[in-house]
Amino acid sequence: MDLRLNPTQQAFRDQVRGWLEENVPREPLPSLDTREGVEAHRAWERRLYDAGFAAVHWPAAHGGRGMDPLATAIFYEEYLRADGPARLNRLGLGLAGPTLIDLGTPDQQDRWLSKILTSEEIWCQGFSEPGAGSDLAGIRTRGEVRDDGILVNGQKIWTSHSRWADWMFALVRTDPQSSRHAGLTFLMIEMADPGVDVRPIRQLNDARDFAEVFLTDVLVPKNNVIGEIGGGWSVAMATLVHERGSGLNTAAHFHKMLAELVSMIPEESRGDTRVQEEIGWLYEHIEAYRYMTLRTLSELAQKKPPGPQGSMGKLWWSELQVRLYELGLQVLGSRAELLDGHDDGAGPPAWRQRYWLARAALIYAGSNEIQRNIIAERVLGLPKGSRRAV
Amino acid sequence: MLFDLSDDQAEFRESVRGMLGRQMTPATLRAVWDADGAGSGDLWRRLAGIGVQGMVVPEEYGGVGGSHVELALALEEIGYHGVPDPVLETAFVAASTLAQCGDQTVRDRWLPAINAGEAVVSLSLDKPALVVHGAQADAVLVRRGTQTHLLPADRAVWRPVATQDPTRRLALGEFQLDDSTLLADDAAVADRLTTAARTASAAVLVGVARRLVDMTIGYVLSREQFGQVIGSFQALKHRLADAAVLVEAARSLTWYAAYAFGHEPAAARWAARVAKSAASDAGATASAAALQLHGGIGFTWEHDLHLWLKRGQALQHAYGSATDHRVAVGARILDRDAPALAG
Repeated sequence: MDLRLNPTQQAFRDQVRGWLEENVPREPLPSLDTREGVEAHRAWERRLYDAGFAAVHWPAAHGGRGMDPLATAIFYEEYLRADGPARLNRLGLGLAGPTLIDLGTPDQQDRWLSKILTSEEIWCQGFSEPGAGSDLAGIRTRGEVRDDGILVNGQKIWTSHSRWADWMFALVRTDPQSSRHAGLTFLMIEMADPGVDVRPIRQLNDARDFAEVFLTDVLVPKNNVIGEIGGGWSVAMATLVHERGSGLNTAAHFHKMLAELVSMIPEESRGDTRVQEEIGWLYEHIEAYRYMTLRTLSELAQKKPPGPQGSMGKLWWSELQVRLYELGLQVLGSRAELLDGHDDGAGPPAWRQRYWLARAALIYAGSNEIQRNIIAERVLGLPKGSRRAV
Repeated sequence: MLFDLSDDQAEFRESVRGMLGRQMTPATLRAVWDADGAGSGDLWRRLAGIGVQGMVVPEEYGGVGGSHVELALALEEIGYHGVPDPVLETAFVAASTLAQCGDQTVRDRWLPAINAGEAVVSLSLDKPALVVHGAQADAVLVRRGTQTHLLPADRAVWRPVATQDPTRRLALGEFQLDDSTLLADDAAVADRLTTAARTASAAVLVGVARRLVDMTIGYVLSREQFGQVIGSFQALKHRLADAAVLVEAARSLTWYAAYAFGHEPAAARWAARVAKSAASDAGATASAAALQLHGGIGFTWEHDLHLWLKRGQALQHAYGSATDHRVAVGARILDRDAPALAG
């Protein structure tokens, strides 16, 4: 146990810090809600790529730097510190790419990886369906295996980034007689296909971050299948393992949010022990997240299986985050409900959006109820309960 | 940067675990209860034999000269196995404090004895001086304001006080502090003493909380109702999951607090508060879940659960409650004149 950076980590940290200081745009880029914003972010991704920072965790042979999870965390910490722009192609760099590296053929890797790195092609994830949310094995989108390819018909939902995506990695049911985990196939769908219809969903926070994706007679060539036809479940599980390393919800991020929250607290409330206790609670939980994460990253960097805390991160950060933004709304008081432009400060809309998105985080990437089941069953060894509806 | 146990550390933890698994069974603990807290036999010397009391005693005094992280690992096992002796006070607080201050005579007198398992040193942080194992300790470290005193047994009168957990062996002391007992009049030394107590008690409490979770897992896997083990019911699973998560959080914070105690002195006092607060929370949540999920049997004297429930309850409040620490941390963060804690 040694929390000091070793010379290699130190050199990498300095290199990243120096490059970001010189290159991060002074002005924020236009919003990702617009085509202009997407192109501005794509240009930024290209600069990251040219400097070798697009995906430091990818193996060098595939254009990354082969950095271990700790060095990758150092990169993200610096990125946050430098206020770098939002990453455009998170699902490509974080999930599709690593899955291709693990399980793709050399041809498939040649075809997709470099365009993921440059963000020339943006990716989205086609797992969830109206009938397959927490129960992912309930997938019903059909894939008819024919001589000329796989004909896909069905519907995906809650698909983030699908508006601008060029590709979707998806799970479809290729064996109509199968149920549950068998008979699924993992394949890459080109979003430009005329049979792909993306319909953005207006969310309760009035944003349109995700969409429904209707798939009608989309013919997917067989060489777009990752792994075997019918072997998609294990590929999808390999993909989800990489979700842990997405690097976004770091303790450093939450400390930054806490500092912003503290700056909003008026002088007359600062001596209130209830406020102090809540701030103390938040600080403690962010620190706990920092060291639980560091434990997991350290285990992974040494190729050890993660300890119990490795299955607890999502539950922890998503719940502390809600409490953080709830306190923000409480501090704003009656101003919290004002819309943009109706308040002199920029506070209320931003905090309200953070709050609603924090509530979404209790649901996505495995709802917190599912997370508790996973902890109870896989970490504590309690039996799987009956899950079937009667 | 690596936040994980080394092979040596993991091995040391296993040796403590193995020894305590053999020597400190629930039946042994119950025997100590039945004898009204009187001694745990030769366990103290056995712990010294595997290097627990001497872990942070410098090598020049015969100690191991190891790290506070190893010691915290041992303390977690001590909590897990319900060791009734004041190991955290002697091995962590007294050994660290005496290694850092006091004149040569004091060090020569106490450090080799602590290392050898021949001295029990307890602790009083505030008034009234209710001290664990007060009447049995060979000496008591006393913090009053910026002063740190070392009070040998013959300088105080200790009146035992009955408590719900007799192994706590609390005693109320009557004594005079003067120049002859003074170790240091230095706020930094006194603060470090308090920080040591918080860090070490967090480690013991994490062990107690983990034991409560494990006992409860064992119970819900064997108890059947409605034709199935009750551990298959989601309401119970979620309650145990919440307790287990708090235990792992507190454990991570405790490892860091122990590391900071040795390597990051400026951060150590806040790390200790945060760790103790998290450990108190984990202890409270694990206790509540354990008692609820054991049902009626957990409410009996005969079942071992209450031995850990009561130890946990005592430790939750010892050396500062979760509320105390959170308020202190929050007040510091909200103080515009104070430098940032982290982030």
